[in-house]
Amino acid sequence: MISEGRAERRKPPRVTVVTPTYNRADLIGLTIQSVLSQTFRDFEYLIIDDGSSDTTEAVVLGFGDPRLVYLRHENRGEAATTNRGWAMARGEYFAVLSSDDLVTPNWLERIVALMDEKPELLVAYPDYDVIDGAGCRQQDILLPDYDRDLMIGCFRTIPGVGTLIRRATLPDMHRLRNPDYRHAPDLDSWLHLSLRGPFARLPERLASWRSHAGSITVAERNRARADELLRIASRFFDTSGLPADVIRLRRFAMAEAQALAAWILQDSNPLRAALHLRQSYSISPAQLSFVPAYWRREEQPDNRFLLRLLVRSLRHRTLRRLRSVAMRLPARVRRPLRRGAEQLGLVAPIPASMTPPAAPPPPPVESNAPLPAPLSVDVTPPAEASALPPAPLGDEAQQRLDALLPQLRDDLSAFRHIVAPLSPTPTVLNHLRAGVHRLATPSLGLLMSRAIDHLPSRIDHLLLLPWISGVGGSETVTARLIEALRRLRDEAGICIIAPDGSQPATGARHHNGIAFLGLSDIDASMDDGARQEILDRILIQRRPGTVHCINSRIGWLAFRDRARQYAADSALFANIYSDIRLGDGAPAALYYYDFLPHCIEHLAGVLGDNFTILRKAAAAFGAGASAGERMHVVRTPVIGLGGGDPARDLRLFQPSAERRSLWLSRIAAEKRLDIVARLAERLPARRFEMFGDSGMASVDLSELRAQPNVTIPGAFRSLGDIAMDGFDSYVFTTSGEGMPVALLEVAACGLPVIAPDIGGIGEFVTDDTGWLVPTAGTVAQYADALAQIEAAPEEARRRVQAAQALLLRDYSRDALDRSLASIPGYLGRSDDRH
Amino acid sequence: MTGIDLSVVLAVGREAAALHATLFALRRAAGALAPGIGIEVLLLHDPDTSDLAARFAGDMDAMCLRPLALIDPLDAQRHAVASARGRYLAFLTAGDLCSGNLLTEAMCVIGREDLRHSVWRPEVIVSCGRNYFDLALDTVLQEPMLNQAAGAGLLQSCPYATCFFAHRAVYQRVPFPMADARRDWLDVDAWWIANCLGAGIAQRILAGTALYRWNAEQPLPYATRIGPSTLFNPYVMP
Repeated sequence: MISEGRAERRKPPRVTVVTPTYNRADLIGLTIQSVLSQTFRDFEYLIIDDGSSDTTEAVVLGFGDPRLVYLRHENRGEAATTNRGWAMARGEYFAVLSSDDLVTPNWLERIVALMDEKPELLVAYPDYDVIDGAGCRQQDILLPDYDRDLMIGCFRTIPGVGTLIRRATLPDMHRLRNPDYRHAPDLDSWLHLSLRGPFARLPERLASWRSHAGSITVAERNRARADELLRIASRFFDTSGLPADVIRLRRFAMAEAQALAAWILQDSNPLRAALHLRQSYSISPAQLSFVPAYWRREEQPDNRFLLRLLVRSLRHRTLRRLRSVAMRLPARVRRPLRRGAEQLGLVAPIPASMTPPAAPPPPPVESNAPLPAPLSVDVTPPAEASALPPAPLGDEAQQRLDALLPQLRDDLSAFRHIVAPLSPTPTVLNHLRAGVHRLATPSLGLLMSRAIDHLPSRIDHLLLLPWISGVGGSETVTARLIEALRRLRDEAGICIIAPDGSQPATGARHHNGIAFLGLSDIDASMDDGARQEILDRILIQRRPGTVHCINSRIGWLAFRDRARQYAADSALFANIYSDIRLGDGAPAALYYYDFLPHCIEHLAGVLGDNFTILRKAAAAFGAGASAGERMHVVRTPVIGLGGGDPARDLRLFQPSAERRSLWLSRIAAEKRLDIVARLAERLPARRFEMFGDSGMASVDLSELRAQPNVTIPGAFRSLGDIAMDGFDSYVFTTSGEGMPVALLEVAACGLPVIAPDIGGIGEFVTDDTGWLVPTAGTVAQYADALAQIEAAPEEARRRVQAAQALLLRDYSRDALDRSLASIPGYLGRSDDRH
Repeated sequence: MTGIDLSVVLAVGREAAALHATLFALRRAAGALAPGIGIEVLLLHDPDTSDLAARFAGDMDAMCLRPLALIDPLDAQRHAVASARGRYLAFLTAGDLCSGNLLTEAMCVIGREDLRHSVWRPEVIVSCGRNYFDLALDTVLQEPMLNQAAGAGLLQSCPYATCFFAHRAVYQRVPFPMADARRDWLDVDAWWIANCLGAGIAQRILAGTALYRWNAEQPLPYATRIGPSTLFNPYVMP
């Protein structure tokens, strides 16, 4: 538990405004100013920089408003950046504002008032105007009153700048936008949101959309955008479980998508645009009755018009290329070709306009006239419907259905007067036969059953681990935790699951006497999605009293997505260790900060082996005091593991006549091996011996090997294999750390410790218990500490004893048991304990 | 009528046309039964649709139509089981049309088998759209026998038809999982089927029968999801 209570007690703001930005240093200042000057003040403002290379960061940080949070990550695209804001948002309402758009000072006041007044609304959107790059107003946009069928059936869903979403009603939606889409992820998002609740227009101009050369919408009106729109339409209707009255809109929406693609391409590729328009009519000859006049399609291009466009296209594109090729041909070949082309009329002057007859753009709309009431589909039956051939069926299904046909025909004859779609026409009967399928029993269901069969019928305490191993710091922590659980709980109720793909198939059913299931043993080829679904089902079926995730990615994903549901039955716990950042300060992928912010309020506890990381998490994720109280330090025991007096495991410091330093840790790139190399170079009379395993990682050791006074014995089985008497000091170097277990173990062995103030190290190593060098420790500081140890062995002995006193207090087996017992809910109810 | 053999629990929905169609089909199926078999239809309605239920309540041929107010949408099925008088209970939603032979086949099964260990379903489910021109027809052949392994798969695949009937003892032995519904795991039917399978109660079909589903409106509850899985949640983005 964080005793200092530094975690701020903050109530979530009502609104979260997110601005994804990329290289908008010139315009983002105006956007920020317009948000921060809102008359409604209860909001948080997240600006997420998608890896800008200009001065965007400096502009944003220049504001210094406490409601403004600046975050930065490597370039991921606008949709992914917006999704990060969505995931981090705490507000009941959510808005995305592009970094070149503006809002009026009363924007939030007005739109929040509307949402508050009508709690049934999911989305509210205002009217807005279009401004140019200099901020001059060009056009007023009065949006239609959207409803679901208008949005889907017309495939034009464009609530614009200043739209507010009721985020609190979408706890199961983990991303707002599909990052697969680059040009219109917002359209896709609105389509899906239209299934979730009503939209409402606020007929007031509260925002400005900037149209300028850098705007993606203007600059990229091209084929990729058109193709993406078609993809969005198609994939939207592939969504499983769509309501039937949405599915019926499919062909209308697909036709509208084709028409929209035609509009997009009309300037750059009129032939293709005409083909899209033809396709639109082919899909649906009629438009829905409530399509507004300004969204009516152009007339269907006839064959003659297409031919004309084809000729123009040939002239404009193909002939230009052919001409460049022909110019390289000999004149005697080129001239007859030219004459032939002239006779065909292919080399006539190219007309100035390549566009088809007037095709006014559908949006923006400049009218707020009420739209006709939706849902009166007045179309004629497609002529080709009755000619649809029956699809072939599987033999057994065919026989079963054929046997049923007399009954079906009889029923349909009876129903046709009251349920028109069940008229027993040849078309309907053919469709029935063509569409027949069987209730699927997907293999995932079988895998789930097999996984559940592997498990004990009762699970009191479930550990989710990435793999079972004895190598590594977190593995050591886990092994000692498992031993503690065996002491403190009924062993029969404990279970370990390794759901991640990192655990190889071993066939093991037990680990140290505890029931064990590795999902790779069920099927090693499963992807993460399948693994998560199986774990999900296990958690539902078994409903363990305690679920503790220690570094399992699948476990974290399950927590992130479903912690609220699991928490109804299980006390959820997760471990966090360290805050690893990449070289440029960006977060490394799939560390705790990708998961914890999204499920922290549903966890019964967050466990860490040091205060520092817990404080950091509490502060970073805005967790209030209540979340702070659920954070617990569980220190890793290194002495008294066998159950005896822990003091017997401590060795006194023995000054060595030799100048030899021990380096012992996992050998990895982030361990600042460069410092060791330069230290060895600076102190040629001192020897450095480096113990540790590099695992699967490839680490460049050439700099170290170049030093004659450095030896790298590498991996070791246990500390007992290392002759500690020969060393006078322990040098620890790293750039990112939690609380290294090796450091504690070496302190127990009686060596003075020199380590950097990184992660939780400063909680153990101080100027009283060792030599703590600053975070970015220099070679000189390490050398100075070594000189002090050489010069004053008595002081070194005193500091070692002080460190060991800390070990006795906090790092024994009994201390671990006490820590676990003090965590509410971790060991279950008192009558569950062993 | 000597007693109630079969209670049909019918979720009234919000459209008179759909309710009328369901009752039409039920009356047709009941008309094919031998005389003396008592059938009641419980019109399960919420406060907004009490007028609709009242409009259709009363005796209709051999069937007794009785309104049943829905107090808690998440408690619908259990409430219906407690209120029904029949030895056997079937569940339908307005817009579901049973085939003309469904009740006849059901009564044949009742006469020859011990129904305390099975839930019975139509052999084929035919779904259709709102109007003829949609041609949104879908035909699903139901599996003759679902086994334990399919139980988990069931929750991952298309939902099994919500039309089924079973002996009252089955509903008492495996109650509807209302606690889960209150945790937002709303597809009570699917969970109930899974639990039935877990309890050794098989899902079986009435050979040669059909159920037609007119998708005039969403059945209750509107927003369903199966367990905490996102695979079949239509309201979560793909």
